[in-house]
Amino acid sequence: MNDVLKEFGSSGAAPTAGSYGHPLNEAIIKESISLLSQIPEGRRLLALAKDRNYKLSVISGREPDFRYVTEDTAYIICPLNTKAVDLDVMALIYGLAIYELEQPSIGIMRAAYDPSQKHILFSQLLDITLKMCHIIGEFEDVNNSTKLVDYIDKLGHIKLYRGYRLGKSKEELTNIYSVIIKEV
Amino acid sequence: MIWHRLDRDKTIDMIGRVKSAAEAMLFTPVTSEAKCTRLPFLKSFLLYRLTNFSSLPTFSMDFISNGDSFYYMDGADTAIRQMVDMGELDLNEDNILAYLNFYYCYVRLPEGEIILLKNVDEAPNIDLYDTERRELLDMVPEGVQIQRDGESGGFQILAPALYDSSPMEVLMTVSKDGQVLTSPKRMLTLENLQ
Repeated sequence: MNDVLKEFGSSGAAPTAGSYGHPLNEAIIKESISLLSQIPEGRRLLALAKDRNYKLSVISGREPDFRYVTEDTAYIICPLNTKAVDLDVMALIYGLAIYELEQPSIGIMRAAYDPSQKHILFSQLLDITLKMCHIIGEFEDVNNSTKLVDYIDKLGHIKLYRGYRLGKSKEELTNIYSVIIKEV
Repeated sequence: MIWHRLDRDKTIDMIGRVKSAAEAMLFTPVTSEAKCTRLPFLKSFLLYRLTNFSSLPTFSMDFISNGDSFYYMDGADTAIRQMVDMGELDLNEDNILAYLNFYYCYVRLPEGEIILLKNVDEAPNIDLYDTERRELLDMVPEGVQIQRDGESGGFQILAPALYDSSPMEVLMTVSKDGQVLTSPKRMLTLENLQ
């Protein structure tokens, strides 16, 4: 399933001693930036990250993901065995990590661990999932690849993606997302 | 999995042992919680989970540990290989399915996601966010066939699985030291079961 480029394809390297840092940190970031540069929203996010001096690095972990740490720092999570990971997915995650850092500055609040803030969490997750649809849509338009569409399907958000691509209203997309969340 | 929550002192001790200087912000005692659960295929080591509740969604890291040495589940089979080297892995007919459920949950494979299915009807309802379902180590697929090779000590298991998003019947060959080879045999549809 993997079609990674250059040195990103090596796998099974021992973790860096005393750190969760991914041994292929630099290669993963370089290739993710290269891919994101192919789409308009990717270029915007990369410029924003540079302008605001966001700190992004890759740590090893069970599955591709991203994690907000502080207002200017986020981790990209990538399995140690990179042969098991699509670079397109890592590029998407890199873009979403930047967007999660941007969210507070565009009025999207972060929820605290408090049941009374469930609605804030819902809004935040809906917003970032729609950003995922945005990025995947641009990749699909640019290179006609369905790889990331397959990925969003695996995540259980294909109905939301199709609705987004059909230009459904925010209210309709919110309803679709509510149903997905309840199913999970 | 039945988890046992660690008390505050043990949680602080665990954070101290797994804390990385480079990524010190990942976990702090104030906002983190630790818990552990038994793995039926390991003699004495347990699965530990450290969760940071400081922001949502919460963030967790899992380790195999005896409370002293912690081996991080990094998406490869590194920690499992450590267990083999330490003589901790003990596979038998009773725990081989739990091992496979665990293996596919924690080890990322070039073939893509593999999830053992209770039956083919389950296939459309599982996605990558369904962590709770994926962590059901005691899930037994309907009609599963398990054969032990008396000579090598390994196993061959035939069961339904979600194989890179497609419901398939897969043959899993597990060596005595826990190495897993997965071969898709045939595509499953509802008609196959009728």
